[in-house]
Amino acid sequence: MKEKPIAQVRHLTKIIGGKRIVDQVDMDLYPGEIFGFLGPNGAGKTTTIRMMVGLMSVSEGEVIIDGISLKKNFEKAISRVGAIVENPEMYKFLTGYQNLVHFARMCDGVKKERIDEVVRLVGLAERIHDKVKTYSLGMRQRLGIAQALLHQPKLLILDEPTNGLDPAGIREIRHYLRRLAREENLAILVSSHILAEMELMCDRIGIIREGKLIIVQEVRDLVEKNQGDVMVTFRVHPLDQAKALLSEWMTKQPPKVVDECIQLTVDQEQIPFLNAKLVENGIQVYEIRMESKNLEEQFLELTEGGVLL
Amino acid sequence: MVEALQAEWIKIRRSKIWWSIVLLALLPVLYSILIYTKIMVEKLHYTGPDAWFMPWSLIVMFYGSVFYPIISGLIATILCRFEHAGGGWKQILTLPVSKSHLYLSKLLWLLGLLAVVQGTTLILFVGLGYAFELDGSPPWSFLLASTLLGWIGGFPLVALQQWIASSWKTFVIPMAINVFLVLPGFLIVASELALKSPLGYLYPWTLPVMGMMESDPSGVDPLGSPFLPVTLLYLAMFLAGGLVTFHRREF
Repeated sequence: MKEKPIAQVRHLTKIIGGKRIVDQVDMDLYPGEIFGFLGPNGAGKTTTIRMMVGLMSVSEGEVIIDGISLKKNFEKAISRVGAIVENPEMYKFLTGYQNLVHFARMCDGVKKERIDEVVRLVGLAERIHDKVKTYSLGMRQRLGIAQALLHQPKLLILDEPTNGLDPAGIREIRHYLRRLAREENLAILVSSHILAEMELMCDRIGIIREGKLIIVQEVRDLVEKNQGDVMVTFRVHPLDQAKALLSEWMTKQPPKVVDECIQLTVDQEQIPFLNAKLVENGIQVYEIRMESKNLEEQFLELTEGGVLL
Repeated sequence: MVEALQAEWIKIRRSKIWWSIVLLALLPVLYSILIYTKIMVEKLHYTGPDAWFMPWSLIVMFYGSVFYPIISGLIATILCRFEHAGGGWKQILTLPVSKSHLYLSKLLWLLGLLAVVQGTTLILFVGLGYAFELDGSPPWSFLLASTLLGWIGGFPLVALQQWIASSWKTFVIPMAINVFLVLPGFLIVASELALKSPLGYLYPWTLPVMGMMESDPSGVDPLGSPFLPVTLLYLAMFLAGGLVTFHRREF
C-alpha cells in the first residue's frame, strides 16, 4: 500500500493578517487511499484545501502533486487534481449533462466517452438529462464529484462532501468514494467535522486544530487497539462489597463507582471470569455492560480533552 | 480559449439574457418613434429634411445614453452571476483552466452580446419605422455607422462593468452603481455639455452615445475626433484593472 505518494504537502502555511490560519501542515496522500481531514469548523481545513487546489495563494511551504510543484508549474500540477470545495450547486438552469459538457469544454481533451464514464461512476445515468434544479442535494454532490473526475485526476479533494446530506445520502457518497479509490486507484482527501463518518469512510485520519495537523492515524490501528481493553459497567448488589472485591483483583486499574454501578477497564477476555468470581462471592449481578471506547474518545484523549466538535 | 468561449455559450444560450435584451431595446425605440410620429409630426407639424433622421436622434438620446449603458451593466452582471450564484468560480478554477482565459472569454461574449443589442435596436427601429410609415427609405449607411460606433463606444463600459460585477457577489450593488452613474451621463448629453466640453469623451457612460453621434447624414469622420483613441485607452485600462483584480482575488 505504501507506494509513492500522489500528493506531498510540506510545511503548508497560510498567514492572513498576521494570524497563522494554517500552520506547517505536512501530509502524504497515497493512491487508493481515502484520507480523512478532520477538525472543528474554523480549524483551517477549507483553507488548506483551497491552497491545495490553487484557489488561494500559499504563504509558506509547498504542495507537490505527482512530483510537480504547484507553485512552479501550476497548470500541470493542477491538471492532476479534481476537487469540490464547499457544496457545489452547479448551474441549476442546465441539465446535469449540460453541466458536465460545460466543465469538459473548460479543460483540454475531455471526450464524450469520458463524460458518459463519469456519469456511470457516480450512478447518475438515469437522471443526467434532467435539470439540476430537480436534483436532490446528494445527486448534486455526486454530479459535483463527476465533474471533478472529468479530466482524470489522480487526486480527488472533497471539502465536506457529506455536509447537509441525510444518512442515506451519506451512505451513498461513502459507497461511491470507496469504489473510486478501489477501482480508479485515486487518492482521495475528504474533510469533515464529524468523526463517526470519517471512521467509516477513511483509511487514515489526520486531525487539524487551530491550523496545526496534530496527529495522523490509521483507522485500522485505532479500531484494533480498541479490541483489547474495554470499559465495563457492573450493576451489582451490594455495591460496597463488590467494589472491595474487584479492587482486590484489579490492582492496576482500580474500579470507580459511577451512578450506583461499578465501572472498570479490563481486557475483554476477563469479563466472564470476573462475573463468575462475583457470583461465587455471593454478589448479585444484574447487568454487565460494555462501553466500547470509540474513536471519538480516543481522539479526545489524544488531543488532551480538547473539544473537537 | 475557443473551449472557454464554447463553455460560456452553453450557459448564455439557455439564460434569460435574450428576453431582457429585446425588451430593453424595444422600450426606447418604441417610445422615440411614438414621440416623433404622434407628437412632433401630428401635433407640432414638424417637417425635417429626412423622416428617419429625427426619430433616430431621439433613440440615440434615450437609448444611447440610458438604456444601452443599463443593458451593458445587466449583461455583465448576468454573465458573472452564472458563477457567483452557485460557487461556480471555485468549481471552474479548481480545473486546469487559466484565469485570464476565463475572464477574457466572458469579455468577448459581452462584446458579442453588445453587438446583438445594437443590431436588435437597429432592426426594431427599421421595422417600427416601416410600421409607422416614415417617409422614404432608411438612410442605411448613416444608421449602420451610428450603430457600429455606438457598439464600439460600449466596449470600455462593458469592461468596466465586468470588473465591477466580477468583484461583487450580489446582483444589486453592480446594478445600482450602474444606474446611479448612468444619470449624470444622460444630463451631460441632454444639457449639450457633451458637445461643448471634453466631458462627453471622458465619462465612460457617455461614450456609447458619443459614438452614435459621431455619425451624421453628411458623413462620418471618427478619425478626426478623440472618440476612438479614448475608447481604446479606456478599454485597455478597464480590462487590465479587471484582470489584475481577478487574478489577485482569492476564492
